[in-house]
Amino acid sequence: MVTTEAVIQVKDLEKTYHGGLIRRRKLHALQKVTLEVPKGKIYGLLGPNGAGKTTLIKVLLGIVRKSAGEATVLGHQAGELAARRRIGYLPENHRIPRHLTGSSALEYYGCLSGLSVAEVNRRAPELLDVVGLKGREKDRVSGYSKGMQQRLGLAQAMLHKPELIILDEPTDGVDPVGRKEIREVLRRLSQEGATVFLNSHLLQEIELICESVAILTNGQVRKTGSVKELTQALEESPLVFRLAGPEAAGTEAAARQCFGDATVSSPLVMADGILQIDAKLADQAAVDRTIDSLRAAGISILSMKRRDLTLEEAFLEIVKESGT
Amino acid sequence: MRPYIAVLKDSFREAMASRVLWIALIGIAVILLLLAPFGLKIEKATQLRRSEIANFEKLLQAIADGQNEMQTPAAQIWNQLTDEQKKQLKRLQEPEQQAETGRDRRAGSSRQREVVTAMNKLLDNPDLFDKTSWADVKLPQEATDLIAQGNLGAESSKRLNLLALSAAFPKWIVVTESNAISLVYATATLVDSIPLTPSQFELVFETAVVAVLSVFLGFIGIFASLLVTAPLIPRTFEPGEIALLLSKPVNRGLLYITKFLGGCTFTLMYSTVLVTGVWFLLGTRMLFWRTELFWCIPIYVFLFMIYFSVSALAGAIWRNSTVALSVVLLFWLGIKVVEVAKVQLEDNLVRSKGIKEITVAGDSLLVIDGRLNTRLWNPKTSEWDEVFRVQSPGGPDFSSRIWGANSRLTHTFDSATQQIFSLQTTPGRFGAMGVPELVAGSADEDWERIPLGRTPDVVETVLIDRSGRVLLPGKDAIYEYVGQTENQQKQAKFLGAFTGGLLGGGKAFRSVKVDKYPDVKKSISSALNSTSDQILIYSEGDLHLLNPAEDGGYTLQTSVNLDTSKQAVIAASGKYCIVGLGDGRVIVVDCNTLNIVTELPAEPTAIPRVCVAATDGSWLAVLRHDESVTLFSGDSGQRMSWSPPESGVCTAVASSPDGKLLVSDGRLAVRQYDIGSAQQTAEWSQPTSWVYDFYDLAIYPIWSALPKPSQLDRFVPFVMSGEDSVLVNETRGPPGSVDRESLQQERETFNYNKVFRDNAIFVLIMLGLGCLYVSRSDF
Repeated sequence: MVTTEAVIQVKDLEKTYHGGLIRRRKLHALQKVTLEVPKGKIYGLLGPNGAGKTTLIKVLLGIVRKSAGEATVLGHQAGELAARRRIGYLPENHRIPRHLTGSSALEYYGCLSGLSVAEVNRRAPELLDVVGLKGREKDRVSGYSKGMQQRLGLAQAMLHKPELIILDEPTDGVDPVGRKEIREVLRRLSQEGATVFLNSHLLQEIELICESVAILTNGQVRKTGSVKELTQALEESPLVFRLAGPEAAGTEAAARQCFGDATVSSPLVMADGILQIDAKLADQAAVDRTIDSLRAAGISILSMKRRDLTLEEAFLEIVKESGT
Repeated sequence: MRPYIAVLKDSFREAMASRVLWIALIGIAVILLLLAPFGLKIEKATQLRRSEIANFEKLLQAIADGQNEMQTPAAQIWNQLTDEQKKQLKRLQEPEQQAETGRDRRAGSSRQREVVTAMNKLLDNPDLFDKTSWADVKLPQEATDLIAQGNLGAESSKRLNLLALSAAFPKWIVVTESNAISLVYATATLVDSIPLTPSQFELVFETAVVAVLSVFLGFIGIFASLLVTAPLIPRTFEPGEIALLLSKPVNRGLLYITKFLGGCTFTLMYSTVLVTGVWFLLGTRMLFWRTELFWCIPIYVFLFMIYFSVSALAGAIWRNSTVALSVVLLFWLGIKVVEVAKVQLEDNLVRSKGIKEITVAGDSLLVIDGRLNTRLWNPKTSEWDEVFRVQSPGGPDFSSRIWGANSRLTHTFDSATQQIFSLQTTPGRFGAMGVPELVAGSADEDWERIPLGRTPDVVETVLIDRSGRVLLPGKDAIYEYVGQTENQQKQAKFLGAFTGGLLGGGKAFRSVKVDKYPDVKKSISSALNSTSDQILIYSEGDLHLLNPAEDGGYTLQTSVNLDTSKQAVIAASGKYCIVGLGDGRVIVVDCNTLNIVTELPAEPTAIPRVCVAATDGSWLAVLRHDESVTLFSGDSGQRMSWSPPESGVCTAVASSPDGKLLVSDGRLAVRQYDIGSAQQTAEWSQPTSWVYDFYDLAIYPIWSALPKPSQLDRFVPFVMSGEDSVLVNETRGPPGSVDRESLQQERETFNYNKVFRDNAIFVLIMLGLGCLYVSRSDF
């Protein structure tokens, strides 16, 4: 369903690459991709290598032409000049010409985005300060570290105050302090009304910053939703038992026997002697049997609930399901 | 536009950051600094130059005659000569076995040097000039001033001697420039008094500057620029850079073109620095201020664009600078191979075997090919057989072709004696062109070339009037060939061979009486009106009409100035005379009044080469260097709308005895047209070999489709000379040996528009392909 608030709207998008000179080979990089990125959100795109994440971004920017389907960005057809004027983009492994300095690179990319030199000069100091390159703007890019180049890339993406910022692995090569700074910058941009479309394979980064996520595997969107929705407990999620025995010393061993062949985590003994065990039980019958055994052993079941997944678990689960 | 200006600016930054540019600029600076101390010193000329002696033989003769004279310049000179110099002079006059025919160019050149050295030694003598001896000579004002000054220093004395000498022998010594040039390096004089006139020096210098710029810009500069710019496009299309660029609001095609133009900034900077430096040095040190030099900048940038457009396309496709450079190299090689093949086929086949002149000799049809060989149509074999061979073994060899390149070799047919007459030009004893030899041939004699004797003076045309007189207009007179007995012919041949024409043939000719023979200068063109026997002589802008007199002589009827100093080709018949001028104009004048009837404006790229008039006066034609034919009506003198289909590829035009138009197709065919009906009435065509087909169907079409960077490279000489056409053979032969003004010289016309259009189309196609590829590719 398409909403008016969506900044990126993709429906049944397909991209097929053709390779080989004599025997033409087809590679379906995107297959019937449908997603929406709401305005003002930080949206994450997750997927294993070769899933089609970068291809999707390139289609949205017009760098790669779609084979079929629809893709609109900021109300324009993907790739249109009018759309690109309002987008800031930081590609993965970007290369800023080595003969440029930090400030001349900003001037170059600013002018390419349609800014005047005066406008660039007015905005550049603040941006350089934000990305932590203040004082290094006169240095040649050839002397920058990977992290510094990444920061400069981010600065150029933000220079023309875009409504949509697309970042492809923005924290690649950036140290932990830098990553935190970048996260803060992105949050601030989001608060200011900009939409951030983030492509990263660093699940922790996505989990920390993104409000919504799409998971892409084999060129297909497997799951979309908020991080909370994605990590909600599933039927197959482990059960977390909080147990209390009559004698603290023997409870752990007795409890283990009750779980039988089920996969259990190492029991965690709480300060008040309460024992916490994560167990993955095959079906309801197994659950019933375990409860009966525990009760029979005189162990009290203080609580029992299914545990939420981490994003990594959810991601791996989805990837596993898709057979990648 | 802002994004594209940013790309251009970035390219400029990139070029400035390039080490190769700085190395190139430092290299240029060093070269310019090394050249800076070179300079010219211009002083009053005190020495005679080789080119200023118009006729070595006659000058020596005039001086030798001084021994029998009293108080004349020649007598004074003779008296001032040492015994050794007198012996030397006599020796120079004597025929030498070593170069008995005068065809040994080196020997002639060596004799010239010897004479010039001897004359200059003579000029060093402060006692050479003697007022009494020069009493009857009109001295120039400068000489009079020097005499009035008195007590002359050594240099002034030499100068006076030079002026006096040239005033004494104005026909044989022509001092064209009053200054002499010395080449200096800092304070040291490298070459004192260069043996060239300032204008000759300028010409040589111009050629040298063009050659140097061609090497530094056309070759090294472009190669260096290609090396520097080859990675530009592939680097731009690297995934990390192109993704960032294409995410910006820029059009892909325009981005590609802007990057391409940005790549040209390197060549622009390189050539601007070099040309400005050279221009400044030449101006300050050599007083050679030529703003035309600045044309080199856009020309070489454009030249670079041709190669770079290929490099850019290859770079965009393969994204590899090595591949891009290799493709450019292959492209360059391909162009060269096609060019060389075309030039070789044209030189050795199309031009050399192509028909250049046509003569109808009774029942026979004769043509002259590009190698100056005479060929006769053989109806049995349908081929042109070589006849009228030169006596020397092997026919007209390469050097004689070059030496005769600026003369028009034609045959004039005398219907009364059924003979053809022709002038055979050969180098004289002193190297320069000597007087020609009149030769004849006939079908009865199996077209054997029979020498009739050397003409008394330099003549260029054989005219035959209605009574069968063979007339040869020269600078001083019209000579008539009066024939010789067989013995006389043998004697003339023998003497001619010995003396290089100095004595031979004299008895065979007599001067025709002319009332007020016009004052004609260095070069003349003449024509005889076949219907009235009027003779028209053109010389450096003046057209003279000589009417036949009752006593067999001629009378100068009238003269007209055609407002030019260029040479001309003329023809006359019936009511009109047609004049094709060196400035490109074609004028038809009334044969009785010389009033202009029709004047076609100058076409600098289509200079007239030959003018022909119909034997019956029904039409006149001009054949130009662009191989086009324009016809004029013999009734009205106005231009005719019809021209033969061969116009544009035509290399020879002639009239048949019954007034039909004969034209060649530039190859081996002659076609006859009836002007009235505009219909072809006859054809003589030798089948062409497969090589012609190869040229027509393969080489020429490929050459036409490919760009022509070498033509662009040749643009500079045209700009520097300020002319629209340059001589093809100018670089052959010794300096000054080529008559640059001659309309017979094979000229290469530079069609600015065509060359730029052809090359620009190629660049645009390459850029278009590049844009298309970039626009349709995924990155």
